[in-house]
Amino acid sequence: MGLRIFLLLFFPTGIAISSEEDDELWRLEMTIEQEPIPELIQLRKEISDKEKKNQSSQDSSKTMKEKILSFLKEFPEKIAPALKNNNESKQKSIERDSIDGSVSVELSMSGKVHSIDKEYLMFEPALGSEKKIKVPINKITSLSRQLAKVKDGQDHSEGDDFRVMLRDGSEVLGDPVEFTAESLIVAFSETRARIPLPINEIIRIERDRPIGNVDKLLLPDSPRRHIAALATGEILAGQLLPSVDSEKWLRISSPILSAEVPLSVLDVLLFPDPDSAIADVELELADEINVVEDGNNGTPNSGNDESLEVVDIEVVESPVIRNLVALSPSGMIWADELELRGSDLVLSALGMDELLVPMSRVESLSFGHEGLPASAPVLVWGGYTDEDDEYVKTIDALSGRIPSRKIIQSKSKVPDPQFMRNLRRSRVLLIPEMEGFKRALMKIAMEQKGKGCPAWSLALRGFLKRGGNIIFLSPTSEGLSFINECGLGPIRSGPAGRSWEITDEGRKLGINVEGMIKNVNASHYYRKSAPWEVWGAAQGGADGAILLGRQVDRGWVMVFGSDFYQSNDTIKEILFRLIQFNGRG
Amino acid sequence: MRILRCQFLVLILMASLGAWAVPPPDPAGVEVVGGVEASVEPDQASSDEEAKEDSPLGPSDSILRDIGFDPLSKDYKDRVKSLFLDSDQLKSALSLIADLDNDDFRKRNEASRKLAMIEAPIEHMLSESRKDSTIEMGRRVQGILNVRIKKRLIDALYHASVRSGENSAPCSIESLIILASTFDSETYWELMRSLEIAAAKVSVEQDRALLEKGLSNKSQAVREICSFVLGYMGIQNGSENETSGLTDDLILANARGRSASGKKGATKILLDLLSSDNIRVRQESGALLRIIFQTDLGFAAYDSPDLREIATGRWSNYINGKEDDSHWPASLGMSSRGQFRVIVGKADSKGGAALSYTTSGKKIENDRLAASISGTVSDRMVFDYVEGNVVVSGGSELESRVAVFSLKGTELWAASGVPAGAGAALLPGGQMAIASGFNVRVIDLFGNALRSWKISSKINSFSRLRPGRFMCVHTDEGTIAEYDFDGDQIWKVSGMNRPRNAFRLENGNILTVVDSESKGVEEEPTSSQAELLELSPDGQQTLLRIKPKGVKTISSSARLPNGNTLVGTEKGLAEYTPDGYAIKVWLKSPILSLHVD
Repeated sequence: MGLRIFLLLFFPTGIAISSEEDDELWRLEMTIEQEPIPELIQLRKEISDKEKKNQSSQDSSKTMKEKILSFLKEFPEKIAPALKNNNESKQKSIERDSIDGSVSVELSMSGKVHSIDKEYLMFEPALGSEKKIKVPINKITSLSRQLAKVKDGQDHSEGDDFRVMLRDGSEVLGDPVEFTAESLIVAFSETRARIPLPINEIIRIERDRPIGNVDKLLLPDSPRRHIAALATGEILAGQLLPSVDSEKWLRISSPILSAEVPLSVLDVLLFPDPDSAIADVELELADEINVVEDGNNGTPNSGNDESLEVVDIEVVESPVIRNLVALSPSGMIWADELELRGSDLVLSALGMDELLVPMSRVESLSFGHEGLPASAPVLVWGGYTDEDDEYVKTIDALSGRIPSRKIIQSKSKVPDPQFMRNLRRSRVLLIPEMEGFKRALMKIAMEQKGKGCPAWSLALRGFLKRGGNIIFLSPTSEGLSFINECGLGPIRSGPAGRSWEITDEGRKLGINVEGMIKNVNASHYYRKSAPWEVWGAAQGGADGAILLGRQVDRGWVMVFGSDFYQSNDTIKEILFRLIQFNGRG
Repeated sequence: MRILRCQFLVLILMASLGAWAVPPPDPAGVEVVGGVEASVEPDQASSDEEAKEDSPLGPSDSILRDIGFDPLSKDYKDRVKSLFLDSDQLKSALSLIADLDNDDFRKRNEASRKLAMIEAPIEHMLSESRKDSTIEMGRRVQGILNVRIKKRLIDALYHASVRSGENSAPCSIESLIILASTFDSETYWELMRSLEIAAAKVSVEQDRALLEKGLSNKSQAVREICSFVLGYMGIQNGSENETSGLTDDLILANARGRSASGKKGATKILLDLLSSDNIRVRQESGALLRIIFQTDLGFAAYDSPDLREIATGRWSNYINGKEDDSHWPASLGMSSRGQFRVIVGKADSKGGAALSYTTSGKKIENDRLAASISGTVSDRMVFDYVEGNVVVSGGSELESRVAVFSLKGTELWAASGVPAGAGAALLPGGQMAIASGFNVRVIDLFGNALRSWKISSKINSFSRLRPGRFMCVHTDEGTIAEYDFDGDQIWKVSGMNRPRNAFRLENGNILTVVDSESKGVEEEPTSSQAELLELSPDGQQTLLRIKPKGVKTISSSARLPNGNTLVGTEKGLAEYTPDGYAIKVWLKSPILSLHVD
């Protein structure tokens, strides 16, 4: 006791941060570009000179093409300047850029959030002696709660909650308490806060832990209807309408049947795509209005008229810049604008100007990014994986490093809606060894479900465009063909080594392992080739690489040749670092 | 066990019937186990034995439990008593140690056997006897130590002393005095701080005569303890006339006792002692004044006389304007912080880049600070208990990573890509000093450069010691130096063989690594290329030299409360006795940094 009094009395000036205070602490992250210090420029020069020396000593090992090029350069004819201009000057400017290039400094600081408006965040850093600072929002990468509101493994009332998935990728966890013609009111558990979600924006509502046997039920494929699976086992399909009697009930009406059910017995409710419904109606209308090509009307213009010439307009898909609000314990809302008003965060989102979310339910804010936040889950896809071995062992390898609630598992064989929903909410797609993958299976899938590698390619490229990362573990033979056919390659097997090491380029992963890393059980190596960056190379300078990465759109595709049938702490750490990788190093 | 289960069921039944006389335990309650918080199962507090489980155990108590001295067990007092020798047992132990060198083989064997069995800490006496001993005796001593070392009896003594209070006195003042007489007060500086407190707790007014007699004991440790206890009681050492003949270290011990109890009269004595000729007295007096007044007026015991005089003048002005009244208790040593935790920064990533252990070597799981450090870098760790934070830094020389954590592990600030290869220090107002090459740059929280100092020699290691005081190691120049807030050098020790990784212990001594002197002949495979030195606060005396066998680098070192030293190398982490013998390997993987708090 005396000691406690002593500590309390003698260290009051310190930054005594109790766990209660931690609750109020937010972590602000930003990346700033700075001019390099003279020592860094000097060091870069030294490294560059060293590399040049090494290069010149390796002239003997040049390829024939390189030898011819260097031979041509020796002649002062026209070819040489062209080559010089194209290569040397470019190289020099690249060199200068890389030597004088700015330094990207990543900063993070803890503190209290005082206010957020469209342009500024008022922040009180824990280290800044109670001085408030005004930070432009456009400089901030993210703002996240220092301590997650719901700790991993801690049971909470999530089981009673519903997950509402929205068309723009948002996802809200809560209790649907009221249904009106325009919106579904969802209440956050343990708070009085309610948010209205526009009906047209909702894709699906599902109970986090279904009461009924909905998992095993095959919901009918009826694109233009609302489909409700009830806890009692019934499945209703029809047009969703507000209840006549109570806002806590909903009505599903079809031409021959109309049913009213309380929201409390709902397990799953699927919403049709409003666009597809409209398209269908237009189609029906078009069928009714048949244009008859008779003599009076003449033959329709076949396109000779210049004024009607169809001009190909290149549609440049401009990146949509939005702010991502990650909710606690899970869920997220994409918002165009944010503002902190009292204890509520006011979002301009889901087509509404003011959507109020209590700040106590916000876990993080990612500003001005289409990409996914660090807190978004990892989707482990085991559609073609040996379920009992590599799949389970890969997930086991992540235990203790990634909270279990942040790992989503999927065994889908094709990119079905469930898989796509999971993919949308994930930051990383982790694909354990695809031992069971056969190209023939894709053929069957194409024939039966109309979805094969082209569908996978679209799904994966879309994910990469949104800034997601994909990690393939030990792809071999037909697994490699999957990568290639999805357009993420080219990649092929390469000469193996007994051990390997992290390359200088691979250091950006933040892996703190020095020296050689021994192979663990089955390790597969790949041939070093562009556009892949080699992050882990076989021992002895062989042409084999075990750890590679390449940027595709806004995301990264990574290949790690360890199958995790057996693993050790080092390769577990490497996998963890791959998952954490944000492309910046 | 069955009875316990029945009791448990009955209690559950009573609870369900609302028959609780008192509210049930708070489900959110936590107990501290091994320095970390662990959930408590509230329903299990259904028997006496299990109720004890819910009693709060501090880290010190948990360490006692880990080494077999469970403070909640019924035989705790008896077991702890065995740690304290009486005079007969001490004589017997000394006689047995002498018998290790007896001409009679049977006596030597008998002595070995008996010494291995003694339940009191005698490791330090055995180690001492090894000096100037025959080869056989040295081997016997090592053999006995190998058997005894796992018992960690000095650790048990330390923590039993920390735990001592009015209701749980493990010993008498007589036994404490006898035990203290066997320890060297400088080598076992931390242990002496806990023995002093224990002695003060068990003493009563009637012990005054014994304590005053102890002031003339031939053992320095006994004299200091007696003086401390008298001060703790508010009694001056001896009469007015006798006081003038007392040495400064005993006057300091008395003032230390007064400070520990918060009694008035300490600060004026401490102020006078700032001018002592004894550097250790100056060091501790300055440290206590800083703790009592929670301010730092720039006094350092090892500074030049001119600088000391100026700083003493500042203290004099500060104190003379105040009443020398009672104050809140102020103590030195690790026990005043009560963490007893070793944070180890590892070079490889097996199990995280930072691990946490108790000071007796048991791994602490789920330590939030270690986990937080693991997520960044652990090449260097600098703890600041006054400000309540830890600064860690590492990575490449010019694009390093720096992070500041609270002592509980909350990340307060972090930056990557800044030039801090030599180290970093947190300054007031949220500014950060980062060092690399010849420069120290001060940046704000957003990484903007505010100012910089240029130092004439390359900085290999940079850390903040106290407000406005930074320690730099200049390996190429062979210097350890300290600088003020403006980058002016205020102290240095030169002529060292490529010093590295220097830091100051709480008693002012410096632990630093230097290159071993080459013998000019082909080195044996077991010879080391680096050695660890403990220097006096002014750097003029070498107090300890540890040469780990067959290592190329010593990355880090730290002092344990039992007086042993932890040494981190490229081969692992090992514990060394004060006479330089390795007694325990903690880890067999490359170590980057170490800290004991």
